[in-house]
Amino acid sequence: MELMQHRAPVGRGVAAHHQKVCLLLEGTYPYVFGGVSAWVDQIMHAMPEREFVVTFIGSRKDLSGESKYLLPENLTAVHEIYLHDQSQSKARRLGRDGRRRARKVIDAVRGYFAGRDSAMEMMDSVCDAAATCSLRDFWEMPETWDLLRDLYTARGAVCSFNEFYWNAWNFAAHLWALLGAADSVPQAPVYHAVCTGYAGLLGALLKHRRGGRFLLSEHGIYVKERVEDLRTANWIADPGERVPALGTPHSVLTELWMQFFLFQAQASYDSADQIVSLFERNAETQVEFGADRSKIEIVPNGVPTVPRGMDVSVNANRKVAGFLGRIVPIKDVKTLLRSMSTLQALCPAAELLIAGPTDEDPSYYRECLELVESLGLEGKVRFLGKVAASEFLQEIDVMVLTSLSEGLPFALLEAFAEGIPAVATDVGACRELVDGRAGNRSVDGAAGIVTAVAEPEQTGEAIARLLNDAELRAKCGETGRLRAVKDYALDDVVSAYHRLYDC
Amino acid sequence: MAGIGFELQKIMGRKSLTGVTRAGLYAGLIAVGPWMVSVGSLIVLVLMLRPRISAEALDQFTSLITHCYALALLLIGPFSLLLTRYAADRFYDGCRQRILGSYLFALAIMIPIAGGVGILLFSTGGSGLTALQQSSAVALLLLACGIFTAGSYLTSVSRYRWVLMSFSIGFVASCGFVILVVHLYGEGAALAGFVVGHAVLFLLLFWRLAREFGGDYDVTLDVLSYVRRYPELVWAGMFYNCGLWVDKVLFWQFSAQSFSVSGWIKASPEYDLAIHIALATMVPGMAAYVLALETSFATSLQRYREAVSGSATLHRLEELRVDAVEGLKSSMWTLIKVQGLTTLLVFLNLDAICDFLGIGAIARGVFVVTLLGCFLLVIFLSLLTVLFYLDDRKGALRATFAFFAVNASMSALTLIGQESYYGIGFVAGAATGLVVAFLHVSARLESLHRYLFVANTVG
Repeated sequence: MELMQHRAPVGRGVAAHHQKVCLLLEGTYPYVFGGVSAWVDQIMHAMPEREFVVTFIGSRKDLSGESKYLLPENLTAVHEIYLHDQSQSKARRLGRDGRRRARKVIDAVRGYFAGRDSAMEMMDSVCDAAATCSLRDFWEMPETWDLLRDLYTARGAVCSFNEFYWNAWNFAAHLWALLGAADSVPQAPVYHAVCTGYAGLLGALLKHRRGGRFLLSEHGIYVKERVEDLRTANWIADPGERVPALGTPHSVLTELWMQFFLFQAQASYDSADQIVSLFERNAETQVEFGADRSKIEIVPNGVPTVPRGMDVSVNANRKVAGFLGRIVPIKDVKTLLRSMSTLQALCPAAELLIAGPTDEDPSYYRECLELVESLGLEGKVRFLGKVAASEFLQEIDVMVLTSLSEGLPFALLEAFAEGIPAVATDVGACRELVDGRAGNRSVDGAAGIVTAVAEPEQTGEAIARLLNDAELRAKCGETGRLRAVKDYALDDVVSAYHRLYDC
Repeated sequence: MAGIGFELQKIMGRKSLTGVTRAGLYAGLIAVGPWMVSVGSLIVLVLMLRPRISAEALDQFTSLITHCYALALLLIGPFSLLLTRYAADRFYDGCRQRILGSYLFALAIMIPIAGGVGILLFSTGGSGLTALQQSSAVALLLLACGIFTAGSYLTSVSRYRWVLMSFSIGFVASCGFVILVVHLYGEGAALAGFVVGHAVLFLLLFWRLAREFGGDYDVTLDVLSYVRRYPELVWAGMFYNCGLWVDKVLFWQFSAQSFSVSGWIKASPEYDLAIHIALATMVPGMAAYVLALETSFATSLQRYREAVSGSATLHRLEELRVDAVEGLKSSMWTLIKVQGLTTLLVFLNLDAICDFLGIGAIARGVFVVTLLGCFLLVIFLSLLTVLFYLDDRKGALRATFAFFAVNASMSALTLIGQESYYGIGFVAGAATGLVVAFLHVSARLESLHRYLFVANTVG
């Protein structure tokens, strides 16, 4: 298939030494804090000679708020796409021609669901036809209704049809909104999506329509994260679904959503010229979801390091543990708070500082404050809000993460760079970071202690061990610092991306 | 990482489904109500006045009334369905304070138009009409517009009993005043007496509207937006009323049987009476139908609608849809049985009825044909009601247009060619309207799920 060929733009590497890059970002920079946003901010600052444009995909303009970052000078445009676009349902009808093309869309969708066509083959046909067929044309076709009915029936016909229908409509409306907005994305020789999802799909579309280079990086695994969301989602109101589902963990609607996210991922993976993964375990998951292993390259997150000697001074008397990150459920701050009783029993002088923005999920933050009160931790635990990482790191002796899910956390890298050891749950790249990278282990030894998810006693014990043992703390801190310098230097990451952008 | 996949879903959610309109249910009543009232009262008045006034005066009296009603229905035809829909929508969405305002607005538009048309027609064509008769005719035209519209409003918000009572009191009053003024001032004042009675009827209806919706009402012109939103209702209302009258108007104007009552106003009293009686036979069938529809079809459709907005499976929706279709079928059977029986009874007693009313031999032929036409018209009307109920405005428009076009062309042809076939146009028009309406009702009920969902998504 033409789309999947690795096409080289003419004259590449000669005139365009630093290709302009269009970053495709979904719900992150510059409006939302988080790992991806931090990475985007970092990479743009680290490549001052390269021009960037950002395409931000959001749900609704009024939910975006203010830009959370000071935009660098080499970021020349921020283009916004909002998918919650109600004009879709009022689009002009295109008459007979529209219906003819709508039929092609229907065939393509049927082909995909019947397993005849790949996600990208479907997108191919859909975006060709949909460019000249309004969603209204498509939706009003009797054949579209038949298609919906068949998809519903194929899934057992047991869930609320009303719910099924509106979910299906939303999939279609968002896809069409994305298709409609694709033409407005700024031109660039390189499109770089920093997740699959809508951003990845947009990258696939742009690659298909405009050619050029399409790079896909994943920090977390979008599909997996959405599965987590699904598990806690209470908005999938499906009271009609009472049929026993032994052995089938997902309901019909969650299944439908899964299929949608997988479709986005497949289209993204298939179209991408190269796929970047932060660490090996994520690469394996990507392959599981359909990525071609030969396209995947591992480029971790990086941290700026200043070479220095063995001057890591351990303050033996101070016993302060720290957390750096957004106060949101996925970080499981509550487990961290609950670990304090074990910690205090083993190390009575221990204190806990929690730094990071609290405004993303105010109700969760409130619950955390209430937990502090009910556990009687006032005076021992302090929430600092958003502070400068460099200053915060001067205040703490151990970095702690109790996250339920992570990519490759900057909090650990930054701590390591300062020679601070870490206690972290066994998620994402945390084990690689703390115990050393699997495979080509360049720096041996532990830079801290890995714990199980949602185990406050384990976390408390681990923190206590490091706080009570100054020698261990110093050893781990030094291992971490060396590891940051050798394996996670920002300079290496930057040169890897220069190569990926310009190759 | 903040993927927006679910954020979107949370915002979008699902919409509540609308599209089965309560207003539709009353469309049938509204379409047929005023018509029935005029027919019934005319028959009674003819019987009561016959021994009291001269034949010429009676012909003049009845034909003036018939013309006023016909004109009023033709003039408000384009707006009646629209206004009814507006009133019902505001009644059910809670903006009831706008209802009276829209009625007053409609009156403000109607009065100059109807007044102008009335003055133009009744005073210019008026050789032989006294000044009292001319002004009475104009007043009756205006009152009829106000009455029919107010009746539609009250019907659309389910004030059936008040409407029925007002019309009964109004017509008893009209008949009483007619007898009284004829006794006091002679036959020339008959129409003026009729007007006084209608003024009573108008005031009764208006009083109810004002009492119910008069508390700090808004005068907003948003009723005008309905013209843009539902243009089909304007056309359907117009074609329906034109279809009802076109054959009569053609007959009055071009038949050798008709004669000038005064100036351009013509009449063919025997034919008119025969047609009126035939139309009156529609009452039992229509009443039985509306009753059956309210109890079976409307309730099963309501259950269906709740299930559609709730959490039913498609299989369950299909069961409920079939229920609704069955309910409609049984309502239709009730209608056909009751109407068939009525028509049969009238047919079997044709001679006795015609002798009693003084309908001659030639008019008897028209009577029989029109009787058949009315049988078809009732079924057509009932299907039209279903189309409005299911909000198939395009279907209603096509059916009413077919009714009008076929009636007009066939009636014209029979008048040019064989006049003894007059009445065929009406039968053919009603039959065509029936077929078109039936096809649309079946198609809509067949794809009811699809229609409801899709119309609420991209409609």
